[in-house]
Amino acid sequence: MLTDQYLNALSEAKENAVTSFIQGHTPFDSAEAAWAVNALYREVTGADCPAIRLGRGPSHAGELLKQNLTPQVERKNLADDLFSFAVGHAENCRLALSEALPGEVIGNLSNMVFRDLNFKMFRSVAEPVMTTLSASGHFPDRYVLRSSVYPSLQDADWISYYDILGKVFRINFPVPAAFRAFFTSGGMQLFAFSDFALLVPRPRLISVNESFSLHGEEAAAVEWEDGTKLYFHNGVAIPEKPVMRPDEVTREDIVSETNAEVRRCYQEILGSERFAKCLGLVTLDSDVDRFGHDITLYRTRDKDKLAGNYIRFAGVTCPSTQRRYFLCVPPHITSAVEAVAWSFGKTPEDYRPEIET
Amino acid sequence: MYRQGDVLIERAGKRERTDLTDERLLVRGEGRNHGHFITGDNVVISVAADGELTSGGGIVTHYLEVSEPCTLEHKLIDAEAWTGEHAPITIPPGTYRVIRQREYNPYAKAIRAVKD
Repeated sequence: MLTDQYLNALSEAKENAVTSFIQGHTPFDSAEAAWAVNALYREVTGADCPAIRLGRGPSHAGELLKQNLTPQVERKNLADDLFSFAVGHAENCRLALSEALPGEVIGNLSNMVFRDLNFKMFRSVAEPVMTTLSASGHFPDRYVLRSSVYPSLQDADWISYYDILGKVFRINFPVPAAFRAFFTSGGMQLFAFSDFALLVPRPRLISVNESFSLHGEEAAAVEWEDGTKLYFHNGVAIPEKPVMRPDEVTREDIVSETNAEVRRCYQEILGSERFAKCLGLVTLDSDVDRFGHDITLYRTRDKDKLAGNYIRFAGVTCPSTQRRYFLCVPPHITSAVEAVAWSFGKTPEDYRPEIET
Repeated sequence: MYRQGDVLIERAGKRERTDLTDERLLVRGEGRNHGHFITGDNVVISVAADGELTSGGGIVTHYLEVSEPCTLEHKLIDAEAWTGEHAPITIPPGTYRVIRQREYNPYAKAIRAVKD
């Protein structure tokens, strides 16, 4: 059933969907977005949305949200109703697929197409973006949970999946036009209340590394029109400073960071030398290697709470440039010679280079 | 045993030729325009298995079968000219393994190749 013709068409459609998701930002189409919002409201309230507010990005949208959440008005959050509406249609899409294609083929499609879309759109981008935004303080606390906002970027994978299968196998899936229009208009997130809706547009920039993890090299990984920026290092959300102003990172920045993953990123971005110097060092052992170069074993002045120990570094001299550089070594290393040998998986006894340049 | 910056080349026993490559760039400086190249006509290069380690935990990247002396050179990737750092090393005939320098990350409690 899945001939080469189908496989090629699926692969091409999938690549296009992912590329367009990552890079294909088009200017926000407010007319199409308004149409999508009104259509969604008609599904769950029977009427158009009373007032639509458009944020230029999370920061601007957060301000609008605070202004519009006037305490004297009794309002209902429509996220649950919109979610139920979407779940019903997703279930209908699943049924339509099971009627159109054999179970074995559906299993293959799920593995070949949906898994990849889910990984590249949802797990790698939408989920970390939405989670990081939730913790960013742009929106009032009670509206940061996924359950209070619907739809959002996190729905892009399943909508794309049925879009792709619909085109390739000519199946008419009941994905509501309003959902599709919400994304094609440039929408990222909808705060839907009975008295107003607030729409947040998609970022104008999403940058990923070769593994599809969010990553910005000396730049934000995600950026909106209103100037809101998120910084990621190989998929880990990190502060702006180590990415944009690494020279200004201080010991206080590193030790006050309570997330081990983030602290690992500090070490990777700054390099072991800057990282070690920031933390402050105590010399444990000094020696001279067989070519006459100084080698030193250091540990950090204080125990690192996240690492659970002092961190050890070998300070070595490059034989050609005479530049000192630092390597982080495990806590069981007790001598400078052992540290250098360890870095090549050797013991001091069997690390014997005849020539070193 | 020969060392050029973050690359160590040591003698190894004869092994089956697998994953042969024509790529002469053995190790590339991360995000940099330089790397360690092997030059010479009489060398067979095979890529080590993904995640291959020596018994001591060294990160193995390649195996070399050198039948006539070849040279390990640190060159610019685009211009293929010597970087001026790390003098070339002549490798005599023999079978070798290429080991990349590693370092420890205390937070992930993991080991990874050094970013040169």
